Amino acid sequence: MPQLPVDEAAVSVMNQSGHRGVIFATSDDVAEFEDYGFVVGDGPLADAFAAERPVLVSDLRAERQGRWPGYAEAATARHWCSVFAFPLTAEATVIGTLAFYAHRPTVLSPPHLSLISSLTKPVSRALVEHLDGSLRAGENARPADLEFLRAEVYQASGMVKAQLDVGIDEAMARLRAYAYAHERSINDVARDVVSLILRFEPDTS
Amino acid sequence: MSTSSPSRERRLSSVFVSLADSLVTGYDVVDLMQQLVDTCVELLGCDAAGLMLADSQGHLRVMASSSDAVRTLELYELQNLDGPCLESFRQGRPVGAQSLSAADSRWPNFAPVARAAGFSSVQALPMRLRDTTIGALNLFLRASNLLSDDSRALAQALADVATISVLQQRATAQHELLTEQLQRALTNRLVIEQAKGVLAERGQLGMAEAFETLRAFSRRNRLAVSSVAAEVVSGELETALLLHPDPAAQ
Repeated sequence: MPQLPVDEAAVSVMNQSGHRGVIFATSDDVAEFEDYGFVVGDGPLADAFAAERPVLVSDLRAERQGRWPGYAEAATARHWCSVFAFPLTAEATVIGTLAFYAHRPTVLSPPHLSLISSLTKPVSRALVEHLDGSLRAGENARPADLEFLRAEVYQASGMVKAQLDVGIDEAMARLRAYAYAHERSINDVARDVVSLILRFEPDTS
Repeated sequence: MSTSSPSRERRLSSVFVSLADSLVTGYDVVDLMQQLVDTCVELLGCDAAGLMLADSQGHLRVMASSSDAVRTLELYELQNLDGPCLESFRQGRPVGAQSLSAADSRWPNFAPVARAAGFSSVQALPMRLRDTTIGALNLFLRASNLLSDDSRALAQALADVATISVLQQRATAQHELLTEQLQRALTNRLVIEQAKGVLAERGQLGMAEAFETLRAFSRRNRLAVSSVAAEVVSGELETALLLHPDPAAQ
């Protein structure tokens, strides 16, 4: 990022029921970490979405004993130090986040914040159009355009619900917990469930 | 119109300010249109004003009128497909006639009715932004002269600001609806994926088969796939009903 003191950026779509999916990322590494947020459920992006306000973290190391221990621990392990999360709003609705990442402790100055401010509207608009196009295309959409839906994760949660005979929220929580404990991406775990490699029994952990 | 120049300027300024305000805050488009035509009559030297916007079929509809008489006129104009407002709208440029008594061949339906209503001259200004003309502002005078250049320019400026406001409000309204639609579409997709998972597990099916089962049940019972999916996921609907449909019930 030539004008901002950051290394990477990513855009994710989010909704009220906790779904989030990466739409755009400047590298595979940041895409993976942005995706990781779905597993832990909390973090600066989730907070920015919920509070509809930017959440600016200059040093995630401090948050390991602070707001988001799990998230901060994972960030540190992946060498992400600063995260700046901005909610993306289309008219009255928050639809996702625009996040910037840096490998070293960084601070955004007022001119930086002003620049980012001017980006959020056009990015929101682009996001809405992209989502509209992808969802409309339905079966004709390119697979890459539908990755943000994490279809397999939701299919897997349905299977786990039936396997354990629990509510759908608990099934999703069990999937997340498994991914977290085994340090695997939730998409990979879901794929194993859907391809019948992994079954959940009441004692699966 | 006998208001002194500085006072007229002040009042015009405040109208422009409130029109500009409407670009930033929420507002009612009909109020805005009414304010515009009333301003034309109060401050610009015309005796009546009417504003028409085209609907989605391209038919001009009266949005505001400074008096009922003009309204009747414009309805008449619409029905008969001639008149300065229609020309201005179609061509995207000002159209006027200094003397309506010479306009019978140009506007065979409109001109006689306008004269009968007591008007001698007319000026129509397009509500236009670049290539998009959304309607027209119709100004009527009893005396047989045109508006002063200043007044015409001011009226066009008012119409221009109003055009931007209307277009912006329409874009906003479309966007809001789209965002809500998207949120709902997204949630529905996710719930459908979950329902596929439940059916796949209980019926030992692949995902494609599971989806087909869901669709077939929805079709048979004339229900939306998304609502059937939601009930499968919440447990309200027994999966056995989908997986082992009773042949007698079909």
